[in-house]
Amino acid sequence: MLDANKPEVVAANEEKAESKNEGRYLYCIADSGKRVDLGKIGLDGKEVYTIPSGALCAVVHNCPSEPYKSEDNEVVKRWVITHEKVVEVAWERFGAVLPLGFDTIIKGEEDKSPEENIKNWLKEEYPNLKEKMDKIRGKAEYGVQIFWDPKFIADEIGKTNGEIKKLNQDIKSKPKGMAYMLKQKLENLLKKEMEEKADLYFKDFYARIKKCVDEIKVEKTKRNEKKPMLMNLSCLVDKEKSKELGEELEKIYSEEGFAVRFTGPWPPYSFVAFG
Amino acid sequence: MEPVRNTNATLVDLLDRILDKGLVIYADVVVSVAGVPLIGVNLRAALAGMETMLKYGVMVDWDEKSRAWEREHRQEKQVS
Amino acid sequence: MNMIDIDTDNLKHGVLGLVIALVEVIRDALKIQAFKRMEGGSLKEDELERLGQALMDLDKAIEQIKQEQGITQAVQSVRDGLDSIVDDVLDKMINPERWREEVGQKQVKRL
Repeated sequence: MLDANKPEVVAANEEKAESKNEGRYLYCIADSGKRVDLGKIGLDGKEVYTIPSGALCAVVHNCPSEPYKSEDNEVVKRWVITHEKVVEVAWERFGAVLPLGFDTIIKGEEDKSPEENIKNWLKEEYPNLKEKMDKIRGKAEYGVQIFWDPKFIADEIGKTNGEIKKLNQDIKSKPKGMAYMLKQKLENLLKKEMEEKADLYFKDFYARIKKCVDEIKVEKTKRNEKKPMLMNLSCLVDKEKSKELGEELEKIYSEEGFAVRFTGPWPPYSFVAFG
Repeated sequence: MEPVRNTNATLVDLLDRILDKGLVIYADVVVSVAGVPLIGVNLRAALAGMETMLKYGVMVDWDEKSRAWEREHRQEKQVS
Repeated sequence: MNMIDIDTDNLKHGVLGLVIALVEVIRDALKIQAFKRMEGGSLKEDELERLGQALMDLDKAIEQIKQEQGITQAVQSVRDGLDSIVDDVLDKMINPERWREEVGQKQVKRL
C-alpha cells in the first residue's frame, strides 16, 4: 500500500505540483520593495503577487513554463483585458509601473527557481529599471490618432489651385481619349498637392501636440481607404497636463476635414521598451 | 476633449500596446514564443476594419460633421 | 507578418484573382509610362486621343472580366496584400531602427 508520507511519494507529488507552477507570468515591474498579495485577479483567476528586489518588485502569477495560447478569440481577448487590469491595479497600488507585453513568462532552471531568476534579473537591471521608473513616474501614455477627409481636402485644393481648375474644365470639353489622359494628369497633380498638404498638416499638428506632452512616439498609421490616418502618436504626458492635450486636440478636431481619436490613459507601454 | 477609456472602443489600441510593446527582457530565462502561431493575430484581424470603428462610435461624430458640412454647402449653392 | 489573402475555396478563382491583380499592376505601369510621354510633349493630340482610348478600353475589359468572374474582391485582396508588403519593406528601409528592433526581439524570443 502506498504510504503518502514516504519520501519517494512526497517527492513525486511535489514534482508534479512543481511542473504546473514552474513559470512566473510577468505583468510589470512596480515602484515598491514590498512583498504583497494582490488577490486572484490574474489570467484564469490566478493569484497575483509581488517578488521584491531592492525598491522595485516584479508583479507575477505562477503558471506552467510555456506560453499562453488559444485559437479562441474570446479567450485571448479575456486574457489581454485581464493582463491590462492587473497592470492597472499595480499602477494604482504602487504609483508607477513598467508594463510588460502579453505572455512574458520566466522559467526556472535545474539549479535555480524562477523566483531566483527574477530576483537576479532585477538586481542586474536595477539601474536601468530605476531610470525608466523615474522617467515615467506621475505620467501616463495617451494615444492620438488624426484622420483626414481626402475628399474635403481635394475640394479645397480644387477651389484654389489654378492649374487644377483649368484641367477640370478641359476634361469636360475635350474628346474622350484626350479627357482620359487629362484625368490622369489631374489625378497625379492632385495627389502631389495632397501629399504636400498632408505633410504641412502633419508638421503643424505634431508641433502643436509636442508642446503639450513630455515625449512623443510616432507610430505606423493604419490603412483605411475611406478615412485615412494622417498621424498615429503615442504621447507620454504628465497626468496633470492631459487636459492641455485634450484642449489642443479639440481645436484640431474642430478644423474642417479632420477627426481625432484620443485614447488613454494607458500604462506607458510605448516608453519602456528598449535601452 | 476627453480621452476614451472604455474597453470595447479601445480594444484595438490595447492590443497594439500589449502585443507589440512593453518592457523587453533580454535573458535566457524568458520562455520562448518562437514557433507558436502569433498570439492575438486572429483577434486583431477580426477587429480591423471600418465597421468596427463605426460600431464603437469613432467615426459617427465625423460622419455627422461631413453631413452637416454638406448640408451647409448645398444651401450655399442654392443661394448663389 | 503579412499574408496575401487569396480565396482558395475555388482554386481557379484564386489563380484568376492573382493574374488579374498582376494585369492591373501592369496596366498601372502602362498608364504611368503613357503619362510620362504626354508630359514629355512628344505626342500629338490625335496620338494622345488614341492612347487615352486604348487605356480606357483596357480599363473596361479588366472591369468586365472581374465582374463576369466575380473576382473583384479577390483581386482587391491580392492588391491590398501586395501594398501591405511594399509598405512594410519601405518602412524598414526608411527606418532601419525599426527593423533592427524587430530582429532584436525575434532573437530574444529564440534564446
